[in-house]
Formats: sequence, structure tokens, C-alpha cells
Amino acid sequence: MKPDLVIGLGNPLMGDDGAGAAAAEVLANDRRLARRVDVISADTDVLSCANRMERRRRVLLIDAVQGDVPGNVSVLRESPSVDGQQHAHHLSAPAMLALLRQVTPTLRDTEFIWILVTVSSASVGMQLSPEAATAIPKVVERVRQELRRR
Amino acid sequence: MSTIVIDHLARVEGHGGITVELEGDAVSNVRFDVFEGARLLEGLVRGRRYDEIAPIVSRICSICSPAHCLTSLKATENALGVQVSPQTDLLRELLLRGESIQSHALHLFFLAVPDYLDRPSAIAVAAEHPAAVMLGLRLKRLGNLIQETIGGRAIHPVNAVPGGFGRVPSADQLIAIRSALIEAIPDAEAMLDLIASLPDAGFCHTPTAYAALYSPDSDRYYAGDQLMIVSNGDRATVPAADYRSLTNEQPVAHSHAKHSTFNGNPFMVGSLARLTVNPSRITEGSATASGRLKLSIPSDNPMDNNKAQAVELVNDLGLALDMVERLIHDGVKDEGCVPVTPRAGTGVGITEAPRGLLVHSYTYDDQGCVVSADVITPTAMNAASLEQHLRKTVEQSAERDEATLKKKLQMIARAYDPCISCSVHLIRR
Repeated sequence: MKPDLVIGLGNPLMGDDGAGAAAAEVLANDRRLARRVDVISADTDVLSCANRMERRRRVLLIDAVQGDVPGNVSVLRESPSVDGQQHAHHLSAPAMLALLRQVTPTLRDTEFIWILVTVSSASVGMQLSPEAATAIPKVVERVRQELRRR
Repeated sequence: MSTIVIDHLARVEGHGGITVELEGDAVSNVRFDVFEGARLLEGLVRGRRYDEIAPIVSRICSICSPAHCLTSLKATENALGVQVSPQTDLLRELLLRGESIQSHALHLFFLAVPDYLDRPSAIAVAAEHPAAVMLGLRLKRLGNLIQETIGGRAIHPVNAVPGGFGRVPSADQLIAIRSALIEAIPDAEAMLDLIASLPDAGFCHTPTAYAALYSPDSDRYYAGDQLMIVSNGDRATVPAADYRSLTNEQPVAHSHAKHSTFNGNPFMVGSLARLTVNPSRITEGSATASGRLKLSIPSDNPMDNNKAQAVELVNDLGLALDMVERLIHDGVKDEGCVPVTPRAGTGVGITEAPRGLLVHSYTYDDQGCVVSADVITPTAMNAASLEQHLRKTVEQSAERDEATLKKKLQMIARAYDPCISCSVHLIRR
């Protein structure tokens, strides 16, 4: 089996949407962690890293989620609900993952864990809001906690 | 008056989708609302150095990231007077073919096919036709392999830089791509069988103008230096640097995307436009594919853009294989990058992204920092044409119930493969 994989999701040009990518960047720069975990950024295209997920016991996905309490960090062990085909150009991250798991037998035994940081909105800009920026260390710590869990 | 509203084409902060207003059976108004991120993102590059621009703008879209990166580099190099080597041109073209393969595979298999099979999503298709979805995934992975090898990453290339490439691919890497391309030939055949088997979708017919990049001396989309528009059999060209005389952008009240018209008429960009403007670029294999799909050029049916993507997918596989063979035969030299000296100036870069013409234009100061930027995406250029086709779809539909009209309207919008939703992808609970 390959090491656990951490995937940061989100567009860094879209403000708080990039929270997952920002957390992944912090984790990727942790040399001690990098020796036992692979960390990548997939921006908004989960399918692009499909081949990186195979033969892993665990895959952790860090993403922004819209909600009422900005900066809140939560862990989901079941994927967020899939919202059907609402998009003309793209599939949502949960939909892409559901699709991959459905047609890729080797992914069915992999444990997927979502680390979600709540944001109130996302708009054009390369800065995180103060709430999202404050949440990044909490996200990083939750990821480390999950990775320590056997 | 009745109104048909589809508000889920975009997922950004309430923006979005399609609104059709009807007076009885007559269409009184059609609106295609676009959150057009690139326009707003232009502000992010102002004041940035020339070597920071491509990595920033590539993030406008994860699917189209190589096209944004390479179009940006082309504009920057034109502004700073940098002439890259033929090897760099070839590698950049190969990177664009990789993008086109993965993007068309994504759109055809995961976004368009569910419409034809009357399924709500690719996940529903996968439950009944897992082999078809696996086929799409294999083709997408092939495109991603090319992007990762040439661009350094599967998305948001970091290896393409002003003046050339940070590193060039090794012979072993090129041989691996060649093997993957050869192995994909049966998949291309299976893809054509699948697309040919889909139900007919001829519910919107109207004469359409098409625009694409054109070069009389090159078979490359990266190197094209003219814009050609084909309308009613007439052909007109404008120099790429004079793109504004093609786009003639005008703001509209209902959309963030300005509307583009040529001689007062909307035009369509993308796969169907490229096949119409550049029939000579079609390889023998893809000409056969066109016949198998009964794709007649010029077409008056925007749904044919899906068939055109399938033809291009075959074409791209052949072109990519030719390019890789050439690179293996000639040997890739570690030639380094052409030195860049900052200077004041303006440069335009235009390439063909998977969904059509993509324009970047930058003005630099004498320190090599951006003073102003202009980015026009294919989806923005297509907005007026799409509204025209949405109107015709309703006018020509014999079925008048809202559910049927909504389905047809969404199919037309998706056939354009619009890039609306990829700028942001928040999960909504």
C-alpha cells in the first residue's frame, strides 16, 4: 500500500474557496509529515488525481463548505451528498469521488475522510478572510489527528 | 406571460442559468446569465511581474489551466519580444492536445452522455453502463498524463515558463506517452461507437456563424495568427492582434459576460467552429470519424458540437502521436529558456482552448509589471450565440410543456461546454 494521501481542494483565486488548497500547502511544507504522507493540491478537479488515489488505505480531502459559522472545522467520514448534474461544465467534488468509487473497484476499500472548513462566501481574490485564515491551523491539526488515528 | 427559469447552470452565489420569457407560445426574452470570473480576475495580475502571471491565470479554470497558462505566456512573450524555439512551440502544442483530450473526454462522457441517455448524472450512467464511464476515465487519464509529463502537473502547469520550459521531458517519458496513445486507439473506436449510438438531438436548427484561430501555414492551434469567421459560406479574417474587431464586446444588463458580435451577429466558438474554419486540419482518421457520426459541416445544429468534440478527440490523439513520434525521432534538447528582458509594451496571445478561442492581452511597464490586462474566455464569446440558440430551441419545439423545454434548454447549454462553474466549487450543504 502507498502512504496516506491528503488532497487540498479549492481555487486559490476565489478567496475562501481556496482554504483547502491553503491547508494542503502548509502540510506539504511539513518535512516530517512529508516522509510518511503524500500531500497534493487538486484545485477543483478531483478526477485529475484519480490515479494518485489508488492503493491507499486512507485519503483525506480538505475542502471549503458554505455555512453559517465561518471558520468552523468539521470531519465527515461519509462523503457529502451528491448534488446531481447541476453544472454545465464540471462535476462537484463529492460527485467526482462518488463516480470514481463506483467504477474503480480498487477504491472501494479506501477510507475517504473529508475535513471541511466552513466559509460564508467566496469571491474573487487571493486572500483568505480572517475567519478562514484563522481556521487553517485548526484544519492542519485535525488532519494530523486523523493521520495519527490507526 | 410565463417564465422558464433554470438556475442551476452556475453554482456561484445565486448567479445563474437561463431565463426564458414567453408571451403565449412566442419567446419575448432569453437571458443566459454568466458569472464570468476571468473578467474580475484581471485585477489580480495588475502590478505583478511577467513571470508571475501564467501561474496565477492558469487557476482561472482547472480544466482549462494549460490553455490559460500558454495563452498568457504567448501574450507576455509577444509583449516582451521573446521568440521561443520550435521545440518549445511543439511541446506547448502537445500540452494543449493533452488538455483537449482530457477536457473533451470529461465533457462527452460525464456531462453530455447523461443528457442523451435521459439520466440525471454520470453516476446514474455508471450504474448501468460502467464500461462507458471507465472508457471516459481512461481517455481523461491519458490527457492528464500528457499534461503532467509536459506541464509538470496534471493541472495548473508549472513547467511552462516565459521563454520555454523549466525542464524538458525525457525520452523514456515520451515513449511512455507514445505507448499510452497507441493503447488508446481501441478506446477511441469504442468512444465513436458510443457517440454514434446516442439518440438524435436535432431539435434546434438555425444558420450559425463560427469563429476560430486560423493559420494558412501551420497545423497548430498554438501558432495560429489570424482569426477567421465563417458565416453563410463567407469567410473573413482579422489579425489575431486585432481581436477586438472580431469580438466587438458590449456589456449587457443581465450578465457579467459582455456579449460578442461580428457585424452585429453572434458567433459560436469551440469544436464545431474549429472543424468549420479549419477543415484541412482534420486527419484521415478523424474524417472517417466525422462520417461515422454523420456530422455534416457546416452545421446548423449546435448539438453537433458534441459530435465535433468526438471527432476532435480522435484528431487530437492522432496529432499528439505524430508530435511525440517527432520529438522521439529528433531527440529533445535541454536547450534552456530564451532570456527575457523586461520592457514596456503590449502583447496579445490567442489560442484554442477546448471550448473555443481564448484571448489574453497584457500591457507591461518598463519593469516588466502588468499595467492592464484583458482576458476574454470562449464562454463569454459564446454567450450571445447561446442565447440565440436557446431562443430557437423554444420557438422550434413542438412539445410546450415546461419539463421538456427545460431539458432541451439545458442540453443546448451543455453542448456549448460552458465554463461557468469551475471558478469556485464550494460544497453546499
